[in-house]
Amino acid sequence: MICKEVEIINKLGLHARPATMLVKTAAKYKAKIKIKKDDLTVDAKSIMGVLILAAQKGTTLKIEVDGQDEAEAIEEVVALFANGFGEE
Amino acid sequence: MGEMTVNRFFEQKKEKLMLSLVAGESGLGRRILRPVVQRPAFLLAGYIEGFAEKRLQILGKSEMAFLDSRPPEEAEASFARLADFPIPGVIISRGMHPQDYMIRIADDKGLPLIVSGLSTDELFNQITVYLDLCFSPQITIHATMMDVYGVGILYTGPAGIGKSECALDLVERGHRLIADDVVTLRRHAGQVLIATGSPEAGHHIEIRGVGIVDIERLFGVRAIRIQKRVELEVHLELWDDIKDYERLGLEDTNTTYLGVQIPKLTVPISPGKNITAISEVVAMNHMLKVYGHHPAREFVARLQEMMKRKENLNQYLESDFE
Repeated sequence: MICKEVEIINKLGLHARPATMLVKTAAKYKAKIKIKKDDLTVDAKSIMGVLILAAQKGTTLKIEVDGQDEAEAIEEVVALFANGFGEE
Repeated sequence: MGEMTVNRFFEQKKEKLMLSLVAGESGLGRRILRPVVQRPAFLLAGYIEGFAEKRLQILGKSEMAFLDSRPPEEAEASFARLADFPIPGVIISRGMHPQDYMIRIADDKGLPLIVSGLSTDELFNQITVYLDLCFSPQITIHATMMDVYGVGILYTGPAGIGKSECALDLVERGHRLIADDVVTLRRHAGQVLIATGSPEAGHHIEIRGVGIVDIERLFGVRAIRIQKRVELEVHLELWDDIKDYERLGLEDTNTTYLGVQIPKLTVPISPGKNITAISEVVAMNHMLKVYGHHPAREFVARLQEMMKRKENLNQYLESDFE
C-alpha cells in the first residue's frame, strides 16, 4: 500500500469536472484507491464519494492506493492534483 | 467526533434538558471524558477512593439534602472537595437552587455549575443516551445501504459492480434507500450498528450512463430513510469460476464492523442475474432465521429423515418373507 498527501491547487477546488477526471483515472486501475479528508474516507472510483468531499482550494487530502498496479495509479492520481486538473 | 466539551453539551442540550449555567463559565472548555454520569454521594460524605473524576457529576435531591443537613463549614468543605477534582462539571437537578458557597467555589475554580429543570432520573437517562451517541465510534465506508422489507442490508463490492443500480431497482420495487456510495456506520448502545448517509450526498445516487439522480425527488419520501440498523451485509462480486460459492447456506458467515458482528453473504454477479429479487429473498430469509427457522438446515434435516424412513421400509420389505 502506498500513501501520499496531495494539496488542491486549482482555484475552483474539486468540483464536478476535476472530480470526473479523478474518478475516470482511478477507474482505469485495479488497485483500491481511497481518499481521506479529516474523518471522511471515500472511494476514488465513486463520483458521489469524491464530490461530497467538497474539497476546496488549499485542502490537503490523503490518498491511499492498494493493489497490483498501485505504483502507476498513485503516480497518475498525484499528477492530476499537481497539475491542478489542467485548470488555473 | 470532535472534542466533547461541557460547552458543546450545554449548547446542544440546554433547551431539551432545561439547563441554565449559574457559575463557573470560564470552565466551559472542560472536557467530558466518559459517556456516563455520576452522583457523587460518597465523595460528598468523605469517601474519595475510586472517585470517577472524568464524568459529569449530578447532584440530586438526596445529595443536596445531605449537604443542607451538615453544618455550613462542613457542607462547604464537602463541595470544595468535589470541586478540587478535575471533573468536567456539576449539574443540579429538579431546578434546585445552589447554595451561595457552591456558586462562589465554582466561580473560583472555573467549574461549570449548571441547574436543570428535569428530575434526576430523567436527567440521568437523557444525558447517558446523548453521551453514548457522542462517544459511539464510527467509520465511513464505500457501500450502499438499503431497507428491504424492514431488513437493513449493506451492499459492498468494488466500484462499478452495480450497487447503485441494485439500489435503484429496489427503490422501484418499493424498498427504501438510506445512502449510496458513502455510508457512515456507528456503533450504538454497544452492539447495534446504525448506518446513515452523509448530509452532503443526501439521497442522490449515481447511475452509470445517466448521471446523478435524486431519489427523494423522483420517488418521494416513501423511498428513503435517514438511518437504519445494519442487519446483514451482501457483498457483490464478479462471478469467479474458480471460487467456491455457498451452495447450501448451512453455515452462516459473519463479518465485523466496529466490533459488531453481522451475517455476510457473498453473491456473485453475472449477466442476467436479478440481484434485486435475490436481495428480497435474502431479506426475507434473514427474517425467517431471526424468527427461528433456518431453511437450509431444515431442508437437509428433512432429507435425512426421508432417507431414514425409506431405509426402515426397505429393511422391513427385505425381511418380509410371506
